Amino acid sequence: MKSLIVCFVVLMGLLTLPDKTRAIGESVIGIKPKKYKVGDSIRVRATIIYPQHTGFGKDKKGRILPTLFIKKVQVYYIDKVIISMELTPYLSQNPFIEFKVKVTKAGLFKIVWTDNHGRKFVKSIKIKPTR
Amino acid sequence: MSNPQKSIKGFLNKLAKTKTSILGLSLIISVLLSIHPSNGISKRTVNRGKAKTVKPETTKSSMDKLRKEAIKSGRVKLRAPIIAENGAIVPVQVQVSSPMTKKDYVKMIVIIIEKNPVPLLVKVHFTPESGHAYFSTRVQFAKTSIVRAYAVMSDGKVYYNSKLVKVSHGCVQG
Repeated sequence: MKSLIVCFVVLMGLLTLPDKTRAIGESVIGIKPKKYKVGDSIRVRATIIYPQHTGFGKDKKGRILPTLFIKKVQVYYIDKVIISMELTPYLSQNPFIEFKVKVTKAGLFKIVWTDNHGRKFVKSIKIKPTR
Repeated sequence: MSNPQKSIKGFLNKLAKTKTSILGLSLIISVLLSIHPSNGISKRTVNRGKAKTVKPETTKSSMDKLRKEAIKSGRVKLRAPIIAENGAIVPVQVQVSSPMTKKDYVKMIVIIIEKNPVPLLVKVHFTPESGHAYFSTRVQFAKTSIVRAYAVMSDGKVYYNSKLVKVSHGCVQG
């Protein structure tokens, strides 16, 4: 009887686990290495969940998928644009970008993604250099 | 060793004896005429019209000249796989060696994939505050093609690098 209850609990637990699939427009920023000082250069890696439809692809029923892609990326470091990019639909699905930045002082790091319809997706991360 | 002039004369005599000699000689003469610039038909027509006898530069040659003067190889490091199994995700990495000061920095990096329906892939604008001219992404390839990376400097010079990427399975959307 006890084992049955344990089985039941485990099953329910598995069913109620949070869904790992991310919604469209969710973005992630990562910084490497994790510990850095002022004057060091860090690698910033960012991705966004987005379907990159080029306008040539078709769905399962044979209908042409309209273009839908990330068009512009702006990188802010302490309220100033450091890097800006103009992208085209031929970046791979869930586009990933990586660049290097020199740490000057502590502050907010913000990445703004804009798609071809003008929708904006913002994600920010704090930069805390160790002393 | 026989005299070369004599040997040529003998060769010509032999040619004259044969039936095909006339055709061959005429061919040689026509080729020689076409090679020599003074015998070109285009120049004669130009002279008749009393126009300036300056050879008109074709667009291709002038473009080649411009490329040689303006675009230089070097300074740009391009990393991409030689063979990519999946054309949907191909990592491409570009790095430009530059001090990134206010006087001398990289303004823009442009990546082009030749055989894609939209060849221009990305334009990345840098500022001196960014510290490094480095960029990497994952790219969709329609089929096997050359990747080109151009770096535009703040003083207007352009450096470039290229690499061939063989794709065994092109991406579905391309």
